[in-house]
Amino acid sequence: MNQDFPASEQESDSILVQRTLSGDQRAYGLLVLKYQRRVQRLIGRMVRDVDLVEDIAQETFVRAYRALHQFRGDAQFYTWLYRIAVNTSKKFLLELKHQPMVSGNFADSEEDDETSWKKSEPTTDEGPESILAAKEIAAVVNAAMDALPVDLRQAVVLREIEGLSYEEIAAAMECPVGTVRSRIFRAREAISQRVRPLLDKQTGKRW
Amino acid sequence: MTDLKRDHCEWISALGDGELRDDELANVFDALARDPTLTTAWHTYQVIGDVLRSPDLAHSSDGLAFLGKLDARLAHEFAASCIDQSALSAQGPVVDKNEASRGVQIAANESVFRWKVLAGVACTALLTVVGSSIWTPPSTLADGHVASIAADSQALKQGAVVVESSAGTMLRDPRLDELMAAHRQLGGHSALQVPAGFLRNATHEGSAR
Repeated sequence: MNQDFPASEQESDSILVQRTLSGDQRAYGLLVLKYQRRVQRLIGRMVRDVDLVEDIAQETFVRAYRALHQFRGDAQFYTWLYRIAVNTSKKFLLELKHQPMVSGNFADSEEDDETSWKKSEPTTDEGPESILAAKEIAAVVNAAMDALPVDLRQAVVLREIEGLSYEEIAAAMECPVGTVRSRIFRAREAISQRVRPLLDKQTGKRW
Repeated sequence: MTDLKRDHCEWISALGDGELRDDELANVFDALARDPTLTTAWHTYQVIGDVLRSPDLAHSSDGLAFLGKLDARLAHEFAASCIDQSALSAQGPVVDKNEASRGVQIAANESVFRWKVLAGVACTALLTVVGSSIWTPPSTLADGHVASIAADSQALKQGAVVVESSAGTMLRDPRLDELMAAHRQLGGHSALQVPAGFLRNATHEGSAR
């Protein structure tokens, strides 16, 4: 939420939103793939119940899809999506509070059996396999970055971490914009060759 | 990777950065529609960017499975809304059909012709009888009325006596005078009240004198 997104990224989101509104649901799929991880992380910090995180994230994107025509583009898409995610999480939490199974005496039960559920108790979001897989993905990405030629690594760092536009990167690297675009693509493609097998194994993993 | 596929992947990479040229923009969505692996490429590039910015985002990187569920849910909702709309639109012709058939069908309370004729004849006969009983020719009515008035005035003239009094000339009926004389005991006093003269003279102080 607090990350500053470059204008070009906002433009990308705007294009995808417009494309979705014109009836291309694939464009919305691209937005989902772009923001799903951030939305799930946000929800996971609010709800702390692994079983609910994905459901709330799904509900968030469904609500965003329904309300997409209301997105005027004044704010960044993620800022707008963020608010929907927060409101959806709050709604789920309120519903949980009103459910007799998890509220009142049951939630505050001192019994230490498997069925008791304490509200303030943080849940373990992931199993060991999930944690290991996430660590593995991060390690592979970093290792692939280190293995990149300097000009590719520099281009992708300026883009992904510093958030510069292609024109700004071109000015910084003293090369044409087309070269910047090509270098960034080649860097991503090189990293993805090593990450993709891990991502393929991720299907079905819980957050 | 073929050159074409490579170009398409480069478009996808540039699309994520908002750096795609206008002429490429129209083509990239066509390419996405034809080649599902481009969606996978997009997902991978986004994961890479997220992980480089924050290693935490390596979690929940099963975005394609997530998207599959979301697509199914949206498709289900879309189909449900389509069914609702088609049901709503189908209700119109059904109503029209009923209305159309209503015009053809004979109403349950539709009258039978022979009964209508009989009712008409009965009404006509009733009107004739009532009309003939209350209707009299104007000349007959006027003549009779004038004759009765004349007879009354004649009888009044025969019985009346003109009397001159201090109050002026009065027309008196002897029969009426006779009737009033027969009931003189009640004259001047109300039959229901004590005479006013008694009330004027009566007193409780009489015994004291």
